[in-house]
Amino acid sequence: MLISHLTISQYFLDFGYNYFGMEVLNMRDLWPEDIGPISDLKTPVTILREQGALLGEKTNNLVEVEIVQFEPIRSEEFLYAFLIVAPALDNYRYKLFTISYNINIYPVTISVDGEIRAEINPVDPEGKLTAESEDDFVEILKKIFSAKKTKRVIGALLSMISYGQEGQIAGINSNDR
Amino acid sequence: MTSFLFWNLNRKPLQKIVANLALRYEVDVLMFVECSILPGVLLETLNQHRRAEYHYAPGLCKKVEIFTRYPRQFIEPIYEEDRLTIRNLKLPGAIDLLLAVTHFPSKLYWSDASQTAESIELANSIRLAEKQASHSRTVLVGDLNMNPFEDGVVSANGLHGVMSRSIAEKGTRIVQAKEYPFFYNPMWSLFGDATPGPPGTYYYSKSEHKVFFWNIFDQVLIRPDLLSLFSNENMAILTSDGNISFLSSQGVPDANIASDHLPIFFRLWL
Repeated sequence: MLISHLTISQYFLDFGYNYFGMEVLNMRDLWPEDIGPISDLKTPVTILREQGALLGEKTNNLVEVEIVQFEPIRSEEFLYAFLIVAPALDNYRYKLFTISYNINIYPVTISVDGEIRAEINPVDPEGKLTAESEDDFVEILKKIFSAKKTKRVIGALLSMISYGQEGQIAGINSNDR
Repeated sequence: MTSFLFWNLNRKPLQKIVANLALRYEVDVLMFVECSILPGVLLETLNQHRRAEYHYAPGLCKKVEIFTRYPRQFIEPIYEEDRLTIRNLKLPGAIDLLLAVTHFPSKLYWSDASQTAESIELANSIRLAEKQASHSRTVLVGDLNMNPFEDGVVSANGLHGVMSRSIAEKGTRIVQAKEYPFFYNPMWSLFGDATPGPPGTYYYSKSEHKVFFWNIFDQVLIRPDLLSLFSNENMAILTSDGNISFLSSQGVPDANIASDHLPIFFRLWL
C-alpha cells in the first residue's frame, strides 16, 4: 500500500504536480524565511529537565528527576509531571507536581499538593499557582524545591538508600503529625 | 484468600473498633485515610491479642496509612504522590499486583469539574505505575469523594470504571483514537435497598433540591486482568465490628459512635 502511494506521489512530482494534483513548479512560497525555534525562549519543560539534571548532580544520581508527559485534561494543553525517582529503590517515584500550558506557553499552571502550596502562598493556600512568565516560573520552582516537604521527600529517599529502608519512612510520617 | 479493609476513620480514635474488625474479618491488609491514630498506638491495639502479627507499612504519602499481616517488604510503595500510594503487593507463591490507595479531594472544597480534572491525573498516575510494573493487575481502593456514576469515575480518560464485569472484560475502549483501560467497579451493585448491606457508605442530607442521601464514595475498582481473582460475594460494606453498630437508630453512619463513613471489605483469591 505504502509503495503504491509513493509511486503515485513520485509520478505526480515527475510531472510538476504534488500528490493532490496541485501544480508545484510555479507555486509561490508564502512562508517567511525566518521560520525556526524562538531563540530566546526556553520552554517550561526544558527548565524542568535542566533542574532535574542538577538534582541528580547534587545527589550523585541517588535521587533523580523524570519528566513524564501525561494525557492533558484539555486537548489543547500540554501536561507534564515532575517525578522524583530513586533508582536504587526499584525506581520508586514520587510525583511532586504537574505543569500545564497551551501553545502560548505562558501562563503556566502549576499543580502542587496542599502542603507545599500553603508554604508558598499562605494567604491563598487553595489557589492555583500560575506563572505569567519565565521569571515567574523559575521563582515558583525555586520555592517548590525549597519547600519543607520537598526536602523531606528527597531526604527520606536518600536516607533509605544510604541506611536501608527500616524505620526511615516511619520516622518521616510520625514527625508530620 | 487475601482480605482487605478500607476505612475513612474521620480522624477518630477508633483503634479498638479497627482491631475488632481486623480480628472478626481476619483482615490481611488494612488501609486507612483520615487516620489520626499514631501508628504505634494502632499497631499495639491490633497486636493486643496476637504475637506481633500486624506490621506498619508506611510510605511517603501521609494521607494514607497501611497496616498488614505480611512483612512490609511484601507491600512496598513504588509510586506515590500527595494523595495516592501505589504498592507492589508481592506475596510468596501468588501473582503480584498493584494496590493503589487514595484519598481524593473532598466535595467540600472542590467542584465536580475540578474532581473530574483531578481524576484524569489519577488515571495518568495509575497507568504510569502500570507501565513501570509492566502489567495492569491493579486494584484501586479509596475514598474517591465521588459516586460510581460521576464523571471522574466513569469517563474513559478518568478512572473508566464500569458497572458490568462483561464490559470490563473487554479490557480497553478506544475513544478519539486513544485506548483507555477499563476498571470494573463492583460498588454499583451495593447501591440502594435491594442489597444485603446498607444503601451506601456515606450519608449526606441537606435541604436542597438534588440530594442522593446515600453515597458510595468509598470504592474498590478492579482491572480486568484481576477479575478472575474477584467475586462480588467477596465484598461488603460493613456496619458493625461484631460488638458495636456503626449506624445510628435512623440507620445511617453515626460519627459519634464510629466514623461518618462505613468501612469496605473485600477478598481476592491470592
